[in-house]
Amino acid sequence: MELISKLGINLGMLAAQLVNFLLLLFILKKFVYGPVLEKLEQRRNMIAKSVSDSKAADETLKDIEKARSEMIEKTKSQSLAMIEAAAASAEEAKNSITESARREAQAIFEQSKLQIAREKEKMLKEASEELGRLVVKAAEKIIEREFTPEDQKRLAMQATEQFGQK
Amino acid sequence: MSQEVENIKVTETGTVNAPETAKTETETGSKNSPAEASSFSPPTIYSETVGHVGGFEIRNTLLMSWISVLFLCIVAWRFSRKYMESAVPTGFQNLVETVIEGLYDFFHSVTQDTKQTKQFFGVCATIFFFVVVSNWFGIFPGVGPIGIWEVEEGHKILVPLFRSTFSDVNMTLAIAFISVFMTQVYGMMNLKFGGYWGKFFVNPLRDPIGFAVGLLELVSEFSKIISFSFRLYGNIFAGEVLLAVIGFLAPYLAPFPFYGLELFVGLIQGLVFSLLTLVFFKMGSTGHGEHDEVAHTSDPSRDAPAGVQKHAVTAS
Repeated sequence: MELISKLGINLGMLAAQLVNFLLLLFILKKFVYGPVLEKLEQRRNMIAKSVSDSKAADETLKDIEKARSEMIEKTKSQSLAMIEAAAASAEEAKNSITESARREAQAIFEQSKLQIAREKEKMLKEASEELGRLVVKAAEKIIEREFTPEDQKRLAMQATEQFGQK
Repeated sequence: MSQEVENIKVTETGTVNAPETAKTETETGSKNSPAEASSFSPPTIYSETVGHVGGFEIRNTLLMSWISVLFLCIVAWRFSRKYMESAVPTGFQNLVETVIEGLYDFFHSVTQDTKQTKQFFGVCATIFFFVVVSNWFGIFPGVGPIGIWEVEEGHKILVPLFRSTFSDVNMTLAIAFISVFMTQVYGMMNLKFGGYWGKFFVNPLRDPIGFAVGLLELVSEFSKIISFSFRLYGNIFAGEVLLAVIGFLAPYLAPFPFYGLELFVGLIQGLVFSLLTLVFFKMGSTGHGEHDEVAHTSDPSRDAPAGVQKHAVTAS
């Protein structure tokens, strides 16, 4: 008891200090601790979110990149196929054109050959007839008389035969 | 950390002697030269009454306590203005935020449990800020010299208007009550009512040793009030006496390093008070099985910081 009075212990003071502390606790909690801890939490969440966001963005970018290269690859192969197809069809067209041209040329050639043969035959016939007549005229001149139609006929025949044999 | 505790121990033992030596000094001084004796009045062990409001006496330590509370409230109010709206805090807000965050991380390293850190943070941090700010305000120039002349037992004495808050047992006792009371509250919140009190009241027929240990722990639970309040009171009062004596012996320059020392002691005492409170909260909220690991931290003044580290190691 003496110690208590010597130290000046006083219930009123004690209570006042308790009130002081509790008031301070309340105010600091309301105005400082609460907001700061909340803000720190927010900041932590924000950082976590932005990290995951950037990861997601990276992922998306990678996907896009992949899709892009795939598309390029596809386009490239497609165009290559198209070029090949075009080249093939051109080749085919060329071949068919050449073929038809060749065939036509062949046909023309055949025809002209036939015609030439026919012309030649005709010419030869005419020439042999002409020759027969010439032979008869020459023989007439040589013998100075006119051949009878029988003679003429015979001579011409002879000449033509000989010509033909040659 | 252990070295700091050593320091505190030294100053703590110093308190016991300091008032005595100060007193004998004044006594001898008064015998030799009365003029000198009247100029030096060491701080009294108790706080002095400086006024009355109704039937309630107001003491100088309570005035200082109000100033500290007012100061912290102004800081809190200044801080909270536009705090939540601004995405990037600047200057003062940044400082407060850094201090709070540092303290939070420090406390978290002790509890190793986010839920408990959040639960204990308010009381422990408030103790820290209140004690540190009060201690630092206590060594302001003008705290002590400014006072009221009163006549007591025929002598004219100067009653200081302001006196460092925690150089009064009433003040430290109030905080110690809070600390021990909240230890019980948090213990019951974390371990349920039966689980918490089951640590103290063990069936003597089933476990006689446990029964005895439980009773001892119950006693030690309440002796914490004494150790808490007298540690802080002793340190701060010793500082007051020390500064008064040095200021009396060599008023110029010589007190300067002692003011530095008192600043340091003020900070360390705040840290010790809040940390011990935190450790007791943690111990009170830890079940019996885990309790044994940290049981030897119950000698508060010496082992606590080492015990904190030990606990941190065992918890991790």
